[in-house]
Amino acid sequence: MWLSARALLFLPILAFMALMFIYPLGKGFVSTLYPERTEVVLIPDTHKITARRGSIVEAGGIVAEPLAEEGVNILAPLEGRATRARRAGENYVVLEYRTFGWDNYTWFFSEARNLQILKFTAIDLGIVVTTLSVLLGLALTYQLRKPGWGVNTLRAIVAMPMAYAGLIAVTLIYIFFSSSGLLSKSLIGLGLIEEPIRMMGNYIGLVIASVYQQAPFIFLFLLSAMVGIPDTVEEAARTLGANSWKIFIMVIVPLILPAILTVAILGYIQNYGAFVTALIAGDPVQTKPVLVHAYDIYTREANLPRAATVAYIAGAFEMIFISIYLYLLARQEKLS
Amino acid sequence: MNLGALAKRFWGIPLWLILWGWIGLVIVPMIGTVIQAFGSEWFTTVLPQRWTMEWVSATHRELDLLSKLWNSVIIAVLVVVISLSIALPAAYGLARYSFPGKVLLSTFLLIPILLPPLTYGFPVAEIMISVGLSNTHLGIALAQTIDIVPYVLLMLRGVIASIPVALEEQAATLGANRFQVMTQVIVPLILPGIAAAVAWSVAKSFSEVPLTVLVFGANTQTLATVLFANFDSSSSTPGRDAALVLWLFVPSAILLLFTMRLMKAESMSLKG
Repeated sequence: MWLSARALLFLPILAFMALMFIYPLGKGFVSTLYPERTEVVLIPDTHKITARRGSIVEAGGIVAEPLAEEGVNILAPLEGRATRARRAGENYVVLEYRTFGWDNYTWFFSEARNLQILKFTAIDLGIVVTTLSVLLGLALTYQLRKPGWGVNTLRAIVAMPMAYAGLIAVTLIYIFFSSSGLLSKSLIGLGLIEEPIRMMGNYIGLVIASVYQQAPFIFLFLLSAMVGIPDTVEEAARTLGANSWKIFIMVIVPLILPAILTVAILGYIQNYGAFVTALIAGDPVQTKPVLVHAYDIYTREANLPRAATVAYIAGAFEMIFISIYLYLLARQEKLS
Repeated sequence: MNLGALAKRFWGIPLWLILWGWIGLVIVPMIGTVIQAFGSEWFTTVLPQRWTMEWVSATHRELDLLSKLWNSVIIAVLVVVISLSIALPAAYGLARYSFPGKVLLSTFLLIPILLPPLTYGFPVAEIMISVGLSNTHLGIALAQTIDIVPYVLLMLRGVIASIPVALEEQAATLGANRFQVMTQVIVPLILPGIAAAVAWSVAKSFSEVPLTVLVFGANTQTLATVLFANFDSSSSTPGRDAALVLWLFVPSAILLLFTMRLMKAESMSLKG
């Protein structure tokens, strides 16, 4: 009986995850829709609709008469799944034509623009931002690795942007670096520059805002690895004649290399999720990461299946790196 | 003194520059935003010429921010209720028992932390639309909960694991049943942890955008979506932007400070 009592503890969260996470995922995976065949059909008030949500609408079953006066062309054959039935005051029915297939996936890999966006996300954004963040995080960790007066406060300040990563961090950085922000204004005020610097709304802005959110996380992660190194290791190296730089490169970095690798992968995955950062700090067209692309398809073309396809392809790439991360984690636990 | 010795002597300076540069980058943009939000007539001077409440009141007046704040609060309350009620039992189970497949289960429950929300957001939005929950507070709260519940689980698991099992056993020996142990021993002890998780969830829910923009509608705009839409448009001005950021940042900052006071970073570990 002990098994069932414990299983009950996990029932609510598993039910939630199944309903909100697994079921939608599965739904999106199997159904590829033909976008040109999703229609919003307007219905005149006089027409009585009997179709319920989710019911299959046969040819001509729902809207028998063409609505010439509304200017709506009804494409034949009229069959599909009514995803939104008529409610009071709503004069439309959304018909979807569900089929199973790989059309959206072949579409994704056959268009150069999609592949270019994927490459931009993986390399121009992902690799560059992760490398910069890891280097920055390493420098910050190294400086704050030893306890001392005020070090805890400095650590808290350095890690602070992690707490409000996302919308708030991006907007703060945007306001500071934009051409009408404090940086440009004060530099002009001091007579150091003539024209405001344009650092936001382009690739540089996207990189700055992404590093700003990633570096604190990397700092915290590496800090816990670096404080674990006993002082004696460093002292021994110093006694043997190594200078600070040599100690850093040849003693400390090799010791925390597994942590660096793990955190680099974790940080790298986050770049695939660049959304708010990219829309605010980056250029919406030139520096478009893959999920913004998906969002554009969803909002501008109202094409959910295609948007989901693009998101899933990003998700597949993320899952590759998540698997590597989990593998590294499992290995480290075995070692320790 | 040759070049090598010089480099050896001063190699620490760039590192200190990086550290203090970063600390500046954390603090100065906040000051910059406050200056921007309350300044006016700022052209070619280091600081604005005049100080004003114009931006804060204008954004409030034009965008009806109190009703947006109210939406944010309702959604946050729902998120807290849902995520606590499903994460608390699971956190207890993960902290107290070991069973086959535990690592697998906790990894699965933590996957939403690793995946960016939009990766799984579109089908969630589709479900919300098809069951009629789009443009409702509950729909947005349910969508946000997917991303928030793993963090709550992590926090509560850490807190529960730090309570000695002996306390529970003593209570049981003294005749308390399971329910009494839960309500009279565990919950009072983890109350600070719960408070931290609540504050954190509210802060996260307040500034959540990717999942919210897929489900929200005209009646359920939150502060975050208003801010997001404002930055996304070309009609924004620096003063308005900064004032809007403050509207969101001030409540979030209070909540986050509260979380940090109550929570130690070490108890939130990704490890299973």
